Amino acid sequence: MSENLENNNLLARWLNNDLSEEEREQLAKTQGLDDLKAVVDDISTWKLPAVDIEKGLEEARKSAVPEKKSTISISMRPLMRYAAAIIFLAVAYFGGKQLFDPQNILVETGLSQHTVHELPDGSLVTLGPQSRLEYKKKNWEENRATNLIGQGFFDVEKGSTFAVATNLGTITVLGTEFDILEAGNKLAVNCFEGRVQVSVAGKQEILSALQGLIFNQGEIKRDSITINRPTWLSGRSTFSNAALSNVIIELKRYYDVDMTLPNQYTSLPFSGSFQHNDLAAALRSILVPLEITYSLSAEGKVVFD
Amino acid sequence: MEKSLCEEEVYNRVYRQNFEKLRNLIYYKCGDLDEAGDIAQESFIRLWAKCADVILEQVSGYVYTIANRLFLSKMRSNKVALKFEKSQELQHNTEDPLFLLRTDEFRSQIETAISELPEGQREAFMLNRIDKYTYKEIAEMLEISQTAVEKRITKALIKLRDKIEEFRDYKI
Repeated sequence: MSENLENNNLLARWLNNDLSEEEREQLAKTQGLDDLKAVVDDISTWKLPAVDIEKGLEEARKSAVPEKKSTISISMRPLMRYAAAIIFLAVAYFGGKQLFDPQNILVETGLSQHTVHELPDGSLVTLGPQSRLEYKKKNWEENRATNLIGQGFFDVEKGSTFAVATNLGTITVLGTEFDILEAGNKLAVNCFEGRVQVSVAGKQEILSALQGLIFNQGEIKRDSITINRPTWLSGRSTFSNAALSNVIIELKRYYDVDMTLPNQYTSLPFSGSFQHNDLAAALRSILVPLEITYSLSAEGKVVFD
Repeated sequence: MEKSLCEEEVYNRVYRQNFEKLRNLIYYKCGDLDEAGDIAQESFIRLWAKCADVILEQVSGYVYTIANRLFLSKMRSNKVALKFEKSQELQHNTEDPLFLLRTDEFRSQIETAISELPEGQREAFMLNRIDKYTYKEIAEMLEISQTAVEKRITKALIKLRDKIEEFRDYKI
């Protein structure tokens, strides 16, 4: 029964008066909903002790003096984006040449770029920035094998086994949508739909929908994910209690920024997100909540105090 | 010229609009009202100090991030026991089938059940019930999808329903 209620988040939508006629009929058979409604309505009348807002406000303003603006705003220089586009094309060209096999397909992205690539069977791969995907077009339907360096979001059509090999481990798809980030010694796999199997460091882990896994420095950690699609697809990178050093690694995949994080900041926990199209705003989103003072020069160099 | 958070009037408005909600949110996480008030206040003090750097449209996100970090560094593994102020207990009326659900005894069981929910479910459920945020607003605040909010609330509701049934069975 509980399982049934969890499907499609029926109960949450019931609470919100947001059910279709059909769903309402389906729920009508459920026992205990009248009681639940009565309790939930009662909870809605509960209160927490009131706050003396004006007193707190006065104290807050007295306790601190606003600092002078510490950043110089510049947006990403147009020249750099242009250069990134050229690098992308050049790399793809030479890469393809080197293999001497027109059947070998190589897709690469440069700094801050995404690209969507359609595989021969209609499966879609969205490559994140500074990433590289390679596969053999020949016999694709029988052997759906790809090599990935970097970050990719895969929406896989049904069919034969689909495998993604990375430097650290192999991900075999048992179902449909998943996201991979491989950076340095870290491999992160998030499964959004269906099931995938991750083979890493001699171990095999199966991920179901909305489960994720991080392999970092020889250690496998599993967690659950709460989003439907990776946020990087919509122009932001999002973190929950990530070490600041990892956030900066991700930042550098989108911006040509010269910064060295002082040691005392590397393990600060960051929860939040940054955008992919404005360096000054991205830095503010990351560093201001952590109360790190810095300045950004016109050349794109970040200096810490 | 855009409005800046460093203008007193702007800051005052932001404080008045957000303080209590932030205090409540931290309370759902940590279960200590004084600590929640301190964390919320400290977050706003730090926000004022940094007012020049904050983009006004993103102010609630900033202050939430600061508060969350303070919360993580201070509390983490404390056991949570939430307490709320409630309306009066209903007069005893055995005719009313819902009477049992409004007794102090039952309400404190529900409080315990809520306190025992995983942090994410508790937070989403209480933000919706007590602070009247919509699912969409909660999703934006916690930086998760609306479906994820619905999932957390659904799970919380299933646990409450089980708790109610358990209580009814025990009483009858």
